[in-house]
Amino acid sequence: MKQTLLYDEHIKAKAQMVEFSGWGMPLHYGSMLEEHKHTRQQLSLFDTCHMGQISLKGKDALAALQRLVVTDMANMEAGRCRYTILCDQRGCVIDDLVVYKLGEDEFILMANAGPVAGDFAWLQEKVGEMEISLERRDGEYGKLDLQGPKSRDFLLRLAAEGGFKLVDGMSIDQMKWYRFAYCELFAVPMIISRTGYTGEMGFELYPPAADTVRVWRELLAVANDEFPLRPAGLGARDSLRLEMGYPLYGHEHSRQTTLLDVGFGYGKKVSYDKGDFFGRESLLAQKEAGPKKCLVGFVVLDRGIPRAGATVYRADQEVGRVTSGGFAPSLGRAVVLASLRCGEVPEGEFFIKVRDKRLKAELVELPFYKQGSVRA
Amino acid sequence: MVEESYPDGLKYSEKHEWVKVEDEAAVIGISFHAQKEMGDVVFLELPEVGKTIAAGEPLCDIESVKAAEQVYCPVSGEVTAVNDALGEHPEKVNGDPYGEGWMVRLKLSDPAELDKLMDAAAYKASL
Repeated sequence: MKQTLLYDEHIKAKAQMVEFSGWGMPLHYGSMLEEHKHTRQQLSLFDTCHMGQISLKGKDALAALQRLVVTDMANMEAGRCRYTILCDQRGCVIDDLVVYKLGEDEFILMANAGPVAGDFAWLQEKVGEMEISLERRDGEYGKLDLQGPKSRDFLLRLAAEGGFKLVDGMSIDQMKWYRFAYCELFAVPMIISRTGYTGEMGFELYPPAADTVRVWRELLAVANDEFPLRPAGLGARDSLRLEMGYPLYGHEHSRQTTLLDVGFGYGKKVSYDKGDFFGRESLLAQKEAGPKKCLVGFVVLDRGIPRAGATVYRADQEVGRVTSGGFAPSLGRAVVLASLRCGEVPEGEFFIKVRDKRLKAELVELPFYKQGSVRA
Repeated sequence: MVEESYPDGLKYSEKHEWVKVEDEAAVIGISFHAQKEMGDVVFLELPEVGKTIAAGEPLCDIESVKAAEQVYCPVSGEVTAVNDALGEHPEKVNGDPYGEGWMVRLKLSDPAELDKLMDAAAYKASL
């Protein structure tokens, strides 16, 4: 198993470790539930160094990106992040990405840990002739997620004490959702973006690999009663994203799902008029024919937790499959994301089969958790 | 977080249940090790009072944030009480596994079965 830059920190903190996409990652440091609640109420620090980072530079960088992802990137300003999807010719999802625009001819693509090697190979193959340089930068830079309603105030306090500043002199409370900037944190220069995967106010930090352990330690060392920053593991990361209805690679989307079948308003991310891109023709044809599947959320009314793969029934007919399921600590119940087939479905109550039990489930609007501070 | 412990005076099974003998009754729960491996417990389905369960049979379904598991009955007997408080507060299984996290009280049908279980030292050594 691969180890992130912070592996020894997790072992020292007695984290329960788990394999995720080939990486040894902390599942939790004692209690997933407590880490989840702490992130919703206070602030937490996540090791996300396992994630992929791809740098795309050169004269043709924008043109290459336009060919590769489904969303129009021409109207994007430097200093912004944009969520988009990398599709193959069939319109199936290779990965979902957050693209950072550094300058007119320079972008960084933040990718999932599992598919990043495949993403990179795909990009190299498809942009072979163009004038760009393509590099993995995840070996050179770490990634830390600072998430929770107090995260911005925590950075403001650090700024007041001299431990943090944005290089352009702006205050961090001026930074809007899905923007990024260069900063110095404990005198280490890095990119900071107002992004995340928890539904709470939060930031993602990209320190150089050599400084990542020091930044992690110093952040945790300055925690106090007002800002009780603690590490949180992948378990809480997953339940936090599930409560928000955020998709996860390998669950809600994969190489086996076309973008339009994922649901989630993914269709709106596709800019059919921007010129040709991989998957355009297939997606257009599917759009005409109408989607075959849609993604929905259920709150489970009975006690029990359906996990990915469980079958969804309406009345007595099989209508779909659970893509992600788990206990939602903020709701005190289990919730699931499920892929249902579209078209004619019988009337009646929904059930999800878990082992030999049929658990009653209620179709609800996403997100499951609506009080997140993410855009505060 | 509760500290790791395996109290003397309890009997332990290979499947990580503990048994506390009180006259002809046995109180049953899961060990520190079991709750730690399982992670935060969020649902339990305890048996009905009056049910007879043989040693080795499932005693209750337990669901944690990580997975669904079964707790097996380490000794045979009739269920005389269950810890209803776990319905509202399943986290007690994690927070106090040998106290408020108890699950079932049984009337023992074959007290000799207790001899097949481990004492605290043997159980600790088996982990």
